Amino acid sequence: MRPVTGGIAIRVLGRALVFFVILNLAFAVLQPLPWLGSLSLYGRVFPARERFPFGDDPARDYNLVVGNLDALFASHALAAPKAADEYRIVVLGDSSVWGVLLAPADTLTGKLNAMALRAPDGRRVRFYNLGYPDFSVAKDLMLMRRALAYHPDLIVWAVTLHAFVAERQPEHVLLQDNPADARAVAGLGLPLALNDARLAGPDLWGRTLVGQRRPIADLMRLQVLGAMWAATGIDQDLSGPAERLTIDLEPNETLRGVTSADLEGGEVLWSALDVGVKIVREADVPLLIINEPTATTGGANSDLRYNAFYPRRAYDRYRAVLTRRTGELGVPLLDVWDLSPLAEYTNSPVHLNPAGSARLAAATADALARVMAAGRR
Amino acid sequence: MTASATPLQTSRVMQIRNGLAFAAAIAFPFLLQPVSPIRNLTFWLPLASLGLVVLVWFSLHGLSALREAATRRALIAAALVVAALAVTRFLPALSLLPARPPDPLLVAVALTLLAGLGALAARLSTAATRVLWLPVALLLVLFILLKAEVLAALISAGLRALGAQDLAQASASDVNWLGYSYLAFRLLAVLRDRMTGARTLRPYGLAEFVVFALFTPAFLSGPIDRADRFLKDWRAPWRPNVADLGESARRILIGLVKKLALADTLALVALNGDNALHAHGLWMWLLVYAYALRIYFDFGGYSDIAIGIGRALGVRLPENFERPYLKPNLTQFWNSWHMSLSQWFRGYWFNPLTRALRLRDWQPMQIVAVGQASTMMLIALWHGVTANFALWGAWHAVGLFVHNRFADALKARPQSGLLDPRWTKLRHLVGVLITFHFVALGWVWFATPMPASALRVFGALLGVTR
Repeated sequence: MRPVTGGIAIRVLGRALVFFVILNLAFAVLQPLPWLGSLSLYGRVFPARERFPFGDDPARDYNLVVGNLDALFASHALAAPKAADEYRIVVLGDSSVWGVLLAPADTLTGKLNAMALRAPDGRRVRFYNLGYPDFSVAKDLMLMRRALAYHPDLIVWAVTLHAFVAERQPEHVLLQDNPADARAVAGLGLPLALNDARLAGPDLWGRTLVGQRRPIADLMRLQVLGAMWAATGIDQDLSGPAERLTIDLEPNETLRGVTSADLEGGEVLWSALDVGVKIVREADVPLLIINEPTATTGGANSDLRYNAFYPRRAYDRYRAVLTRRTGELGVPLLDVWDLSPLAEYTNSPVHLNPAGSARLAAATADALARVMAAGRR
Repeated sequence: MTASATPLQTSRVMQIRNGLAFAAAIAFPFLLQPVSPIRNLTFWLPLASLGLVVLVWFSLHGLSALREAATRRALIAAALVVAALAVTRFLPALSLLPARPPDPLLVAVALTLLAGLGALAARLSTAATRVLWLPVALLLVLFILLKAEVLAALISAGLRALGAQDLAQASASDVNWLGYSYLAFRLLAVLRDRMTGARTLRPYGLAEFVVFALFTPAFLSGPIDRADRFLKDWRAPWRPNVADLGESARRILIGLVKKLALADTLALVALNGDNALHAHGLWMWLLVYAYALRIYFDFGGYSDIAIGIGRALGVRLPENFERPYLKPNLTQFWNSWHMSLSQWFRGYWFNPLTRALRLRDWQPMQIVAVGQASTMMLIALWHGVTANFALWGAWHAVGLFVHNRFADALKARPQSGLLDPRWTKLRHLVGVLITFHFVALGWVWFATPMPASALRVFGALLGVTR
């Protein structure tokens, strides 16, 4: 073996540096993350997930937050081929649809699937949970666009006032990690703040292999955690004590600075409804919009607010506008805002317990029967 | 005995290395010590580590060592490093310590107290090695106190009472003395070698002894080196060269990949106390395999990093792992897994014990059984005094004994067809598979906190429980 001299060491290090730079630049140019995201062990080695991967503490949740949309869909049961006798319904929404503090079987889609519904033409109705925390109609629309590739027969979109607030849209991790999808939704008419630095996407350094090391590591962790999903059927830690619902409320009537008077101004993205309808109509897929249940907590200042999220006047006005706008668009609306008693909420004014979830599923099933029947006609 | 270090020619570069390594050896434990809720304990525990090193050194060298300028310089330098850390109490923006240090006056009192203890140890130090039992006993008692959760909780309660803190919050985790185990192993080895005269010990300089005992790369989790071997490297002429630095970088890189890429990823699916209760069916095997690989890559990675850094500093630390999962029997596994620890126990427990038992005319089989069982139990309980660690130790003790008997029986038999060289590879492969699975299943005891959860895992592995 040749002795290692300083000259040899410098030459080796120099070549390594050149290789490193070329590799990183190639990665930045080719941007293979979407392709890498679509490679998945789910549905092959591990069972597909019942809902998108999401979790703050991988060690306890056996789950994690992954921003790569291709990876999210590739891990989901929706990615499986559609059976000939399947009537496929995807359900979009926020953490309440995803099912915070609920096992997969206790979520809205879990309860709906347990009903073993049949479409008017006799096909078995299969529901897919495409909910994803946190509130954002832009995120919902991005997922809606992507979901069309999986041949849904009907789309259910659960919304709430928070999801329409313009200011919070760029905060969502899925928008930040998928700026092309965000731009596509904006291109359909959603006035997103595309000049917001958070939606700009990574710069050249951020697109290199080194810059993308975290998303790459997350993709690998997602695959590894498939083993825990397979081994336990757990995708969320339900063992710890849940944060309690706030009962006594602050004496103010705003929602992130928005008042009832602002509800038809630029602070609230009503155009999301138009964009949603445009997306589904282009694909000829029926849509049902649900105004999801929210708690009336009582307690201090309950004359001003329904709960910690919503001031009464702003929320009442939101419901009125939502009813009017969906009516104008010809989209069926299931407004179940006061469906569940306070006891059926967990840690937030929109998170239901299994009983609340079952109640919502029953109401949704009734509404769907009408929508499916109308669609058949 | 004098304390002169008798170094070979010390170059300027070596002087700088020695000085930095000395300061790092003292400061590093202070920087990494986990924060304890007990007032000031985050500072006192690393100071106690340093105190133990000085105490043992004076026990070995006597008071006359103080006459040497090098000793006085080392003591002053050590005190200055500690003082510099202590004054960061008033410079929080500059402090890298995990918790605010105590009042420097208190630190001064503590240093004086340590100096007094060192002087007492030195005064007691005589030609008779009997008195060395005192530091040995001190180190062993501390070991027991720290490893037994009940006793550690009692210490916590006592310290909380002294500081007028809430006794109800007392917990064993309050007394998490970083690096104590490995420090104690090194110091016990030095003391026992002197007591038994097993090795011809050179006199050590105080500064180099501090570097040996608290050597920064190996401080957290070894490898456990012997003083004579370490100091031979440390005193040898040294200057950084490309070959050593290259090898060092290679080992560090391998270690980082093992630890950060492999072990940390495997940790997501490795068996633990929680998922032992959740996982079902054959998937449980995956969790057990993941744990077996994770613990190897984690510890092996740390060892690689330590060995790599040591190499860059001119010290060839002993290897800790040598492809342990590819060994064809359990005896060979234990000769290649955490080698510096198993060699320590072999040298300071198993061999003296079996020698003593032979002198008492015990039967060879009894000697093997008692020697292996007690060694494995000590190794197990070193990890913590719990039922599951004890069961893990018993698992391996039984395994080693069975293998020993089996190997003896095989030797006694005439050469059979199975010993034909054509079968050697197959025998080896089967041996590797059996050994790996025995070890991997043994980790179930190690990874779970209670016998009940371990039994649930075994049930799932066998398809008995869901």
